[in-house]
Amino acid sequence: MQPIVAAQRLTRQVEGPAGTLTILSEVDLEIEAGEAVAIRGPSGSGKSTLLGQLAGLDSPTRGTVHLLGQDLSSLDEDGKAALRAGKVGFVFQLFHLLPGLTALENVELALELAGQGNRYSQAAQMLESVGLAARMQHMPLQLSGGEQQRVALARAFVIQPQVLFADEPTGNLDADTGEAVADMLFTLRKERASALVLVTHDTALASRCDRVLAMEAGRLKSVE
Amino acid sequence: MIRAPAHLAAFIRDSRSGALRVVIIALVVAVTAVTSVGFFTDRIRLAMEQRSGELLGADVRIEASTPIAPIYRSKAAEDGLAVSRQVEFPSVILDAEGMPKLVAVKVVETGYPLRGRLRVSDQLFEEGTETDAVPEFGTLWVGSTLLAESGLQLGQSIKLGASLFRLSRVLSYEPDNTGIFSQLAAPRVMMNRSDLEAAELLSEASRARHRLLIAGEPKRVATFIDWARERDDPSVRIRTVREVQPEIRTALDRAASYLGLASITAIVIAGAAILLAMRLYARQQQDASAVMRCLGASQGYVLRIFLGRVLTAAGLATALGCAAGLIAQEFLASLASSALQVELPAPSFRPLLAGVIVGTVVALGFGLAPILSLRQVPVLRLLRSEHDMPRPSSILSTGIALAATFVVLLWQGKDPVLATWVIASLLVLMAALLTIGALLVWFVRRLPVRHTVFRYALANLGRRPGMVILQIVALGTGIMALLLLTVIRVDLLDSWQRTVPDNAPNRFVINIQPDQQRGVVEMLEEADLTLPGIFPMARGRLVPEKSDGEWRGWNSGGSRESGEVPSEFNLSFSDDLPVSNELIAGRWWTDDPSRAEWSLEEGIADSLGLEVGDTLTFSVGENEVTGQVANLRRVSWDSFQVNFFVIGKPSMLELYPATYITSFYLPDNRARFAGDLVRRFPGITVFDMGALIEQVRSIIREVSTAVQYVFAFTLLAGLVVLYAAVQTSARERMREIAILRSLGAKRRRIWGTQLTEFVLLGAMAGLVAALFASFAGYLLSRNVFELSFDPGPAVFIYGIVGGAVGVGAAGLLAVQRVVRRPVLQSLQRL
Repeated sequence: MQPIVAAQRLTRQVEGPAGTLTILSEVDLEIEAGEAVAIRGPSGSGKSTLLGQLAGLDSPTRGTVHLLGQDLSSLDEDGKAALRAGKVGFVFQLFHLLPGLTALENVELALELAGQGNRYSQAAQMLESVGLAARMQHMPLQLSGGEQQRVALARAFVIQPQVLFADEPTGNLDADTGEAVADMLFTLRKERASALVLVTHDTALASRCDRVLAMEAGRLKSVE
Repeated sequence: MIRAPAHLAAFIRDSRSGALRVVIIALVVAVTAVTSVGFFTDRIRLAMEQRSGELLGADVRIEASTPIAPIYRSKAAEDGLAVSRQVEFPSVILDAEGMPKLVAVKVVETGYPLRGRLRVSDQLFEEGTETDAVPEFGTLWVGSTLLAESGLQLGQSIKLGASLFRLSRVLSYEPDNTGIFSQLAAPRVMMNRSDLEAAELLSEASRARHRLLIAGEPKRVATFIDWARERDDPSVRIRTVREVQPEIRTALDRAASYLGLASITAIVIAGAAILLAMRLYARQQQDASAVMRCLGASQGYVLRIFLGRVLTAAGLATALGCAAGLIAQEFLASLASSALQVELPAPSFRPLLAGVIVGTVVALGFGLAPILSLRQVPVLRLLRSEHDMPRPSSILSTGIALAATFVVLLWQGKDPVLATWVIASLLVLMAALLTIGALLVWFVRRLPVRHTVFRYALANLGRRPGMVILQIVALGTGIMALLLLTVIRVDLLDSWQRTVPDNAPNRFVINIQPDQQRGVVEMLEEADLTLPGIFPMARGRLVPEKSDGEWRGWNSGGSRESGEVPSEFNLSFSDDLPVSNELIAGRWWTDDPSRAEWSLEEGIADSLGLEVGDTLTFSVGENEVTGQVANLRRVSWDSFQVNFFVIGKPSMLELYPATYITSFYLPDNRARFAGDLVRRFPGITVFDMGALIEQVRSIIREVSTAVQYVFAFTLLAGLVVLYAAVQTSARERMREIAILRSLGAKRRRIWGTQLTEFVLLGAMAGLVAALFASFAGYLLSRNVFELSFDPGPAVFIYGIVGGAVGVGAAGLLAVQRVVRRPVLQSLQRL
């Protein structure tokens, strides 16, 4: 079966004041459909950069990335966006809900971009399933961190994504709330059989994945 | 799209945040300025044209030296316009001693004048009372001059042509007889048209001027004028209100320039605020754009969303601005109509369309570039916040903004030359502001300062040079507008009002015979009445010249069509350039006395299609006088001095019979002096120009008041720019203040640093603004308003001090909440 995400000799360099800085170096990686992979590593090791590369949020200096079977280098920005629409979900450390939209509208937006109909009932149902039925008309700023991340989970999973990219999804939450959010994340993923690429420095969270990769100084050093 | 209400709700929530609110406020100001000025000038123009119509006795006048074809009258009547016929010709009556006396007969019919009112009296040289009547059958109304000169009395009967008439009233004032050159040099006799045939006064050979007076609803009049012009009938001249009096025309043109300038300034300044606020709005919306892109939105989708919000803002602001414009113009109109003592006509709805166009064009023109950048926000920003959207291209932003301004200018003024001139000036201004801003930042960064508060403030300015330069440009533009409006506007309006001084000559004396010249001057001097000069004047008929096989001159196509060029001229001669004239082309007389030369007023030269070096011939008496055009003059018509379209070299004209003309100021309480003068020097004619002067003065006065109010919008726009400029750095400041306070910095120190930074920024912007306001004032006064203007040092003091205080206060106001807010709250909001 074709991997859902594949990177080959992926390298990302940036020009800095001290010359060229290599953030990712010759990374090779394959993730199968429905597989949950954690990428662990200390701050600055390049794990978020790798996540961005795999999701097509940035372009590599060298190497290739295939997402959902499509070579990302062959696509322009709009092409990559179209590829993500309705098939790829995201959860961020800083939640990144649109502050001008209500919780419900934030979830509806993902359905709209995926070109799906019947958005209101789907979004409402999804919010209900993350326990936010009573908060649907709230603005993001009126929600706690945990609630905001649950809206983000609803937004990510409402489109039944084939793959979900999560960047430190519990990094901004206290331990109990983080635990609850993580439970919800893994439950929803399982229900929808979505692949998961999870970037975290939390060992416990990483260990809930099928596979854990360690990132150090831009290289995937070991595979546990 | 998600449900439209959701987008609308998102827009409303966005508009509560500072940036979009500034955009809306700035747009409301721009649209209000445009619509209120549009409505108001529309109404003032109509009122002024009505007033000017009094000088014509109509809205439009068809003139001919033969009876006017009946089709003009029937067409006007068919169009629902009021019509009145008039004939004017010289004739002779016998005075009390049985001596023949030349008179100017005006034959009128009921309805005359269609605009303005006659004044009649039972006494000589009295102001008289207004009347709607015309002389009754068998009676004549006569000018005071005639009774004074002829010894005839009211109630007496005289013979005119074949009929006997009773002299029933003294004609004190004819609204359409105030222009000095439009009058015949003979006293007035007015009669009823129904007497004309019986009196047998007119034959085919008579030198009569036939006129058809037409008035009515402006649109219908305009249609009629178009129809009449299309006929291209060489036997008639079409005279409209704008062509009657150069004095009124100059005042009206300047009025339009001032009001137009006021609204254009408001638009440009509001544009600057929009430019700043849209950049800020785009920065605030980066995450939203990145999230949408991350969820699969195309760049087009993102663009549509934000463009939709900008257009919604534009629509909302336009609606508010149009409503505010309607209210504001009503207020302006009520002020003006009490000053004018007339009911202003209702405005047309065209200004509303202008409001909608300006609202949309300005919103897009000044706000499009940042929105275009928004679709290119790197999605990676969601993982690493340091990834910012590409900065909107300055060239693109400026290009679109200038194009928008050009479109608005063109729409407003329909004058591509003026629009190009304004755009070029704006370009130069922005380039210069950028350069000076960069130099100032460079200089400030190198100031050796030890005091920590100052050092930190200077470091702050140096750390964000791009932002600071942008703020200097925006604040500089805002302060410049304020300076132009406060200091320079007053100077400009003052010098405009000074063009008609209190003692501007209000009496013109013509037909002074050479042997009377000395006596007239002496009598005026004895009476302590200042005499600006006494000028010789000969009547000359323009002789068309054949050039390149084609007739050129007064009867060439273009000039005849406009109906502006007379065929008879009052020619004067002088060794020197008259005082209120300015030489604009060629040179004053050459030293060669044998060379025949003319000096022409620029407008008449243009109408005749003549340039320096061309040849021009006049028939004077029995002879023809030919000379070369030596120079062109610009004449201040509204100075009310004696002015001539054509001046010849003395050697060409001094041998021909000439009379003299002079003007003087006669205070109201000495009005009888004019009668004394006429009685002592029979044959001379004294014209009272007081009414015309008062009209020009009232136009200047009324428009000055209106301009002050209209400029208030520009002032408002300037304040919005200040606010927007401070807002652009608010977030960075919030962060800095919160961090400094968390590190233990005292509030006093934070206030000190912020205040110093704002004051320095304001002073720098003020300096730049003062420089440009002086320059702009100089250019505007010379090129647009044709007035002399000398900017003083006050503008710099106001600029620098005002900038420092204004920006300092606005800045502190903007950051005071952040300084007072608990540190944690500030940090959480970032």
